[in-house]
Amino acid sequence: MRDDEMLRRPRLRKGCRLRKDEAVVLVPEGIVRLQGSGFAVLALCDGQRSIAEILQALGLQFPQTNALELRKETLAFIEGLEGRGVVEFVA
Amino acid sequence: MNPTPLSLIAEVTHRCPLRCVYCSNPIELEKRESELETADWLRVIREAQALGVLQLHFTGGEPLLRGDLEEMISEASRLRIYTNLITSGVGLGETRLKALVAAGLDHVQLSVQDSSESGAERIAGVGVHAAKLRAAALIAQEPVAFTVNAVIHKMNIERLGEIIALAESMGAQRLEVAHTQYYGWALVNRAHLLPTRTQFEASREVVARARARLGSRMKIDFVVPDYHLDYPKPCMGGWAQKMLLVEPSGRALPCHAAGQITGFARESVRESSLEKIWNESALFQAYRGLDWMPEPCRSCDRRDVDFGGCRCQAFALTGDAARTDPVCHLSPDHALVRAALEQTSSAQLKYRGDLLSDSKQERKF
Repeated sequence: MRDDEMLRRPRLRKGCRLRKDEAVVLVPEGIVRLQGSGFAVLALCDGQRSIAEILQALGLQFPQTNALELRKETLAFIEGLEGRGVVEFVA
Repeated sequence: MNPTPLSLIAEVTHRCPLRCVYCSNPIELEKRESELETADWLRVIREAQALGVLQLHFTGGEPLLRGDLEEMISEASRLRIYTNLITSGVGLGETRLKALVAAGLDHVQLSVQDSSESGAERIAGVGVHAAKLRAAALIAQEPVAFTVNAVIHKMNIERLGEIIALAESMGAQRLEVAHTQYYGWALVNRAHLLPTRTQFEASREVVARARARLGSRMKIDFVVPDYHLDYPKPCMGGWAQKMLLVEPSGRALPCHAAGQITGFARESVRESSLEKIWNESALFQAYRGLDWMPEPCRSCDRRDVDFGGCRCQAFALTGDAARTDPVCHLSPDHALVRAALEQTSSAQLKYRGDLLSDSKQERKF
């Protein structure tokens, strides 16, 4: 990912709602189950934080996880949800 | 151990200002007098939440005809259930929409019948296209997810490109391009609606091109016409596995069309809890899992993939809900589907709510 892409600020799209108790994000066409750090990632996708800032916050929350691994997984997770129409980037 | 239902489809009324020729409602539409009261629906919503339901789809008929929709949404919202309103948009003015959103509505799914006013009127039987455009402009302004749903068939398939452009201009974030499924009124009008193979293939290409152009700006879900497939659809994710439906009068069913299957007692939320019906009702248990399956499903590699297809379609076409879905090319009844694909329209187009038997009417005179 290039530097300018690290500055993009993701957020949940309208009508997509996190439910912590069930570890899911509820979306118009169904339910996306969240595993591992998935909930923590989406909770940080508030349209304010950049991807770089999200990675930094996750590094503090998951100090045991290898930083490169966390970065790779988080980016793939956010991109995947963007493709499914769950996440969008603030212009 | 039974599975947990994740969705409840609340068919809150069969009343509707539209008379669409493809409507999936039953031929015997329920009257206003037989509809559940507000208190019943609020109890059903609480019982659904206790059963594990996470999403609630309000549909009909036109759900906006229920003045207590706000109360139902509010109760679901309190229980943190995701709420979806499936509507024609008729009667959705600014005040009503804002009240629904304030109650906690998460998602609006607006139907469109065609790209033009005249085309839409021919399909819906009434002229409501302009009202839909007004409703769309309001929905797009609100903090809710906005999906446009277009049911596709022979009467509008040549204008699919224009229909996609319409949804785009409405500001939808999602579009469902759903080929008609043949239940209820759609089955009555099948010969007028079922597209040819060439039309179906063309529609697939139109959607592929639109997806490439739109990216994530407007996501398109494409529901294919199962009559043109080799294998059946995994209907409802398996019988009584993931969702349940409550009809306007309170009858609980595993899906929209299950009420037509004969030989089962009518189980209503007026007399039983949703939990009891889900776990014990003969209709819900009848086709759960794989034990009910006949050949060729029983020994098929795909039995866990499509679950033998749709029980309601098997019943509608063969009179026996426990047969393989005739859509499957391995079904002994597949000739019924092939014949339907060759059938040309001779009968008159019937609008939803029309009397079906002309001869009965004639006998009155």
